[in-house]
Amino acid sequence: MIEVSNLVYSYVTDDGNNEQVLKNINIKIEKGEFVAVLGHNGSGKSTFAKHLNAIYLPVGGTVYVDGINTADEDKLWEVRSHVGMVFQNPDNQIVASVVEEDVAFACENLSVPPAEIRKRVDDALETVGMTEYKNHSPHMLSGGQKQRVAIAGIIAMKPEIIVMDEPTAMLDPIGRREVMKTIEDLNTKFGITIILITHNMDEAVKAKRVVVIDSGKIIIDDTPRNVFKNVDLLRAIGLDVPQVTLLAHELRNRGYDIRDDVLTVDECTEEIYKLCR
Amino acid sequence: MPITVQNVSYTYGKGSPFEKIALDDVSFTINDGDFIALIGHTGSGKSTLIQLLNGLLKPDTGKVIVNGVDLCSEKVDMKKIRSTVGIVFQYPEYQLFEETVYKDIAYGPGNLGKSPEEIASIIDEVIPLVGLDGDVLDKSPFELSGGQKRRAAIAGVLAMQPSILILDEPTAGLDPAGRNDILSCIKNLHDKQGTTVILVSHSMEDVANTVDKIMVVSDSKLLAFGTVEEVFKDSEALKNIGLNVPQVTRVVNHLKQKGIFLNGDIYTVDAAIDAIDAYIKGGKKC
Repeated sequence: MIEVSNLVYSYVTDDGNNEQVLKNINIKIEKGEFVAVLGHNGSGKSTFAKHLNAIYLPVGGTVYVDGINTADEDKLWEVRSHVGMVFQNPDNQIVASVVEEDVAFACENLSVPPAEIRKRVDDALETVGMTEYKNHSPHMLSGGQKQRVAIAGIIAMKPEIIVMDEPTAMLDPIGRREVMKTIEDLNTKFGITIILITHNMDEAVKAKRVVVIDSGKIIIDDTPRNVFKNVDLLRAIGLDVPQVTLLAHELRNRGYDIRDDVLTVDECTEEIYKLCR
Repeated sequence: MPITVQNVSYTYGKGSPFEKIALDDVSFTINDGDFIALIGHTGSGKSTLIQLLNGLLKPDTGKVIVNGVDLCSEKVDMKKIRSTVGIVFQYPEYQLFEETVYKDIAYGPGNLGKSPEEIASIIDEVIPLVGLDGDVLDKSPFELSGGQKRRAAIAGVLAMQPSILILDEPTAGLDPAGRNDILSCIKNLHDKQGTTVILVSHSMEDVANTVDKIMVVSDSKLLAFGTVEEVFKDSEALKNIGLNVPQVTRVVNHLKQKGIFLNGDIYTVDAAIDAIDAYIKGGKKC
């Protein structure tokens, strides 16, 4: 479980100004949740994510992960083994020249016994569907495959929580689908808590809870359905909504009686069918 | 006709164990002032294709002709071709290297032999085109925000005054607002300067709103090339290669299966609203 209370983060810029990136963030995330975090570039969402495994430490307030204060220096490694992190660029996260060695890297650093590492690596590759590539060289893989290898490396550490910072931003549509499928499986089949930072509204729709950050504050925290209803607000802060949500919203503006919380192509088709029939 | 590609094939690592056919007998013509989206998966051959268009790669067989010049001929003036066809690569901000934004933008035209006065006037011209403010010119490119860095990098390519501009996923990794800004600045370039633009993209929604024609590359072959309407009409073919038509087009197609036939080719939200409005007001309800 994650408990963030009155989190403030700021730094001093070159010209001596105090730049406040996070302003009093309060949020509780329970075990097994799938939370998407939205916000435009510079909104503070990545800074927030980096507080969850003590890459950044709060300037004010506290972050507790499974009861551990992330500011407690003696517990740093414990925090990091509870919270795994996956970043945007798969090429920056791969260290070894063979897939299975790469997946084993973190476990080796955590001094996991070799027999146990073998098992964890096999299981992790199975989970992300990359077993048949275990002896391949990572640089010959596609972007989506590389990102799944990076995720396998995290899974092998057996974290309870995985924070993903725009894991699909550099991938093509097939790679995105592969990685999103893996993320959904991790949550539903293995009960891992997922915090997904994304710019892609179609991905955010797949989460069970969406948190919108703007200028360092949480401005909305609700189900995807209730969040994307706020079409005008989201667009005003530089975000988007799925195309079908926008279509339903615009039809409502023209006076048609149509649900304001349409999220999928099928729902949208059904609603418009009702109008046209 | 600025670009003619005739029966072009290209293979990487010929004769090695990693031999891979990247393009297989591809032919097409691009006209002056075209605004084209190039769509295809990683590994489909699209990056190879754009590199052939300014002579970074030479085809194994076939011809690439730019403004009447055959890029394969021995005597071709490559400098001239590179200033005619500008390529903005993926994540172009990684290529910024100079001390100031001004010097970085000046690097390309300087290499083309422009005088400092000419360069100054070119920079005055390109800065507003990419939507940057004049005060960034004296800053280090590394002080800029992500979106600004990308614009500065694009300005560096525009400073070579290409008549054909190729951009490889110029909006990758940007947030929705940044994406819209970059797309409208590219559209602006095309509309105002008449630049021929080839835009590599994965986003069907973005493409539908921006370009005139779409070129689809799949498995080393040219799968489709036509207007947005023509290419999106065959949504099954796109689906088969793992690409999707825009969400609204899928809604329209599903409605068709249910017996609701909306008028026109619909691939943007605005077009869908108008068509639905017309359908209902036209009394086609039964």
